[in-house]
Amino acid sequence: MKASCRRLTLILLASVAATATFGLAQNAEAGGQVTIGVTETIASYNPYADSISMGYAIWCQVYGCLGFYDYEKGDYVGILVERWEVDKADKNVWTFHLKRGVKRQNDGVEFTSADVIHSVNRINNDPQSKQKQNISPIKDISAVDKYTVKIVTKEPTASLLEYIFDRVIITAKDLYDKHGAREVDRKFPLGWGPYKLKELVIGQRIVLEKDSSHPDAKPKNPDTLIFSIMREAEQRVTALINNEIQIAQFIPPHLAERVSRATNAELLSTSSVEIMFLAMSPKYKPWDNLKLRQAVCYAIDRDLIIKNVLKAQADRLDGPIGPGQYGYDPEYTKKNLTIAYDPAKARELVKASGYNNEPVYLDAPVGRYINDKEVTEAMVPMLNAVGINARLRTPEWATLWADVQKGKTPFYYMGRGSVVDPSVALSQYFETNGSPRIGISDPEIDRTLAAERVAFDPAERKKALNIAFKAIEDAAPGCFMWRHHMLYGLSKTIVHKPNAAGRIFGTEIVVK
Amino acid sequence: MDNSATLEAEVISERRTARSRRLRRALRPWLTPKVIGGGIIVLLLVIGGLSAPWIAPYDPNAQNLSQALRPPDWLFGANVFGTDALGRDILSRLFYGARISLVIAVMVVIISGVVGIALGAISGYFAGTTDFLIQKLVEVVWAFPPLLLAIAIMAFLGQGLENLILALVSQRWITYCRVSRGQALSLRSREFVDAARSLGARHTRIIVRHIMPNLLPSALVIGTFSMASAIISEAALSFLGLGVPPEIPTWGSMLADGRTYISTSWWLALFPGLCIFFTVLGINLLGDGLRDILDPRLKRSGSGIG
Repeated sequence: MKASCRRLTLILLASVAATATFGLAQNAEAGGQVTIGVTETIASYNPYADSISMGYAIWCQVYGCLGFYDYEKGDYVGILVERWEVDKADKNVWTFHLKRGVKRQNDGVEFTSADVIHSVNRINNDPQSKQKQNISPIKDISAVDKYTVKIVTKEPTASLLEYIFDRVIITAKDLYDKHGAREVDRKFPLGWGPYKLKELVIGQRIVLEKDSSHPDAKPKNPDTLIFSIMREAEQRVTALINNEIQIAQFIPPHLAERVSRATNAELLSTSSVEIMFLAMSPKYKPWDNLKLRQAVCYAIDRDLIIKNVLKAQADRLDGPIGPGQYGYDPEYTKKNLTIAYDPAKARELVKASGYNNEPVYLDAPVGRYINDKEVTEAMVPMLNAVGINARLRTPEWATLWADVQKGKTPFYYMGRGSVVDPSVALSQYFETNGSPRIGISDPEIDRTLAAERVAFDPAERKKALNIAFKAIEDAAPGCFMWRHHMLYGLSKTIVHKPNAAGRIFGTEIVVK
Repeated sequence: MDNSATLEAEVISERRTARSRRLRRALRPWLTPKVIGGGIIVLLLVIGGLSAPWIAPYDPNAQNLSQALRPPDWLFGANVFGTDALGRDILSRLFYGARISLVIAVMVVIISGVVGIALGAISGYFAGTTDFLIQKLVEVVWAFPPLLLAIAIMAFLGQGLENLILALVSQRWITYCRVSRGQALSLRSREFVDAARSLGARHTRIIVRHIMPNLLPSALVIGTFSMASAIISEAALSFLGLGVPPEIPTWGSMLADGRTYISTSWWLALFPGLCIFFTVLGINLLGDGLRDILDPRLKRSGSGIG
C-alpha cells in the first residue's frame, strides 16, 4: 500500500515537472509566434477561389502581389512592381516594370512577367475563380520583356491600380504548367512573398512561416503567423486576455472596456474603409420598384442605430464613401448625397410605389460584421413602421455569401472592404455586368462610372466620382449605412498599427 | 325501520370508504416525487406558454433601443429580468419562448409518434418483406447523427417553424417505430388477434383497433423523453442560427444572442439557459415517473428509452 502511494506521488511529481517544462518551452517558443483571432476564413487552397479582404492579404504575403495602398503615405506602393506609367498618348496602355532578382521561396526561381500574365489568365480561365471582376478592365496583357508587362485596358481606367494591385495574386507559371491547378495549390504553394504557407485547415486556421531570406522579412517580424478562425467575439477577447492570441480582430463595442481593462493588452481603434450597406436587387420583385427602394433608405434611422446598437463606434455614411476615401467631397456630400431619416417621406414613397404588402426578407449574416444581427433586427421594425412588410432571415454565412455572389439574394445587409478608391467597389456592385451581387442595370450609373474611369486628372476625377455617387443614390440599388470603427485588441508583447483596410501583414508586426 | 336505516347508512359509508380506498390505491403509483415534481414544472410551462399574451408585461418584439442591456430590476421594476441588446424585455420573451418550445415539443412528439407507431405496427404485423423494407429504411435514417441530419435539413429548407418541426421529426419517429415493431411482432400471434382475424376482420381494422391501442403505453413513455430531447434540439438548432426566424423568440436563440454578451450582460444567457434546464428536467422527471408506472419491466431492467 505504502509502495503504491509512493509510486503515485512520484508519478504526480513527474507529471507536474513535465507540464512545467513543456509550458516553459511553449512560452519560449511563443516569442516568434503571433496568433491572430480573425472572423473570416479561406474557403479553398486555390488563391483565386474566393474574394474576401483577408484572403487577398494572406495570399499576397505568400505568393506575392503587385503592390498595395499605403495609408500612411496616402499612395500606392509597389511590392513586386518597381514602377509603372500610363501612356500619355493612349490612356489605355499601362506599363509595369517589375522588380528584378526577386527569388521564389525554396527553389529561388526568379519572378518574371510570364508569372504576371499567367496569373491574370488564370483569374480569367480558372473555373473556380471568383475574382474576374478584378481584371474586368483589362483587354490585353503582354510581356514587353522578362521584367516589363504591358496592360491594355478596354477603356481608359484611372483606377486600374485599385483593381489589380493587391487583388491580382501572382502565382508561378512554371509550377502550374508542371503540376496542374489542383496539385500546385495544395502541394506547391510557393511564391515570392515574405511568408510561406505552412498549414491550411479550412475553417480553422492558416499557418504562415517567415521566409527569412526574403528582403522584406525582418528578424523582429514573427517567425510564425497563425490566423485562427474565432467567430465569437467573446472567444477572441478571452483568448487575448489569456495570452493565447496576440491580435484580436473586430472587437464589438460592448467588449471594448474589457480589453481596455486587461493588463496584458491594449485597445486600438482605426477608421475603417469598409462600407456597410443594404442591397436591393431590382431583378426581384418588389425591388424592381424605384420608389420602394428609395423608401427603404429614408426609413432607417441610422443615427439611432449607431448610437444605441453600435455604441457610437461607427460613422454614418452619406453617399457611398466617407472622409479619407478617394473622391470624398464634404460640400458636395452635404448638399447632394445626404439622406436624412424621414419616415413620413418613406411612407409616402411606399404608398406611391403601389407596394402590395407582400413580405420581403432581409438576409443578414450573424457574427460576420460588428453587431450585424442586432443592427438588422433594429432595422426591421423601422421598415414595418413605414409600411414595408419586412422580415429578417439569418442564413449561415457560407450559404448567404454563396447566394449573394450568384445574385440569388434580393435584399441583404453587407459590407464591402478595402474601399480606398471607390471605383472598383461601385463598379462591382452597381455597374451592368459588374458582378451578379445586385444585378442592377442602369444606363445613368454605367455612364457616370465610365466617365470617372476615363478622368485621369485628380480634380476632374473627383468631380466625376461624385456625379456617379449621385447617380447611384438616385437609383437606390443600395442604402449606404455606416463605416465601423475597427477595434483591435493587441497584446503588449507586439507592436502593430492596424490599417483602415483591416489587412494584417506579418512584416508590419514587430515582436518586442 | 331504524335498524334498516342504520344498516343502509353503514352500507353507503362503507361503499364511500371503499371507493375512496380504490381511488387512493389507483392514485398511489402516480403520487411519486418524480411525477409530482415533473408534473408541476410541465404544468407551469404549459400555463406560462398558453397565457403568455396575458401575463407577459410587454410585446416580446417591442424594441426600446435607449433601454438596451438594462440589468434585472428585481423589485417589481420595469424589466424584472432586464433587457437585451435591443431593449426588449427578457421576461416577456421567456414567456413567449415557452410557447414556441411547447408547440415544437408537442408537434414533434405527435407527428413522430403517429409516423413511428404506424410504421412499427405495420412492420411488426405483416412481418416478411414489408418488415424488411421498413426496417431497412429505419437503418438508413438511423445511420445519420440526429443533429447533423436536422442541420442538413434546415440548411436545405431554410429557417421556419414548420421546417424546424420537420427536421426534428426526421429521426425521432425511429424510436417509436422500433419499439412498436417489437411489440407488434409479439401481438400478431396473440389469441385476440387470431380471434379478430377468424371473424373476418381486415388487416387495417386489426392494426388500428387491436394492435395500436396496445402500443400506446410505451409510446407515451417514449413521447415524454422525446419531448425533452426535442426542446434541447430546438435550442441547439436555434443556437446555431438554424432554428426559427429571428423575430420568433425562442429560448435557444435567446441563449445564442446572449452568449455574445456573457461577460458583460450575464442575464441575457442565464435566464433562457435556466428555462431550458428546468423544463428538460421537469419533462424527464415526468417521463421517468410514467415509465415506472406504465412499464415496470424497463424499471427493473434499468434500460432507458429516448
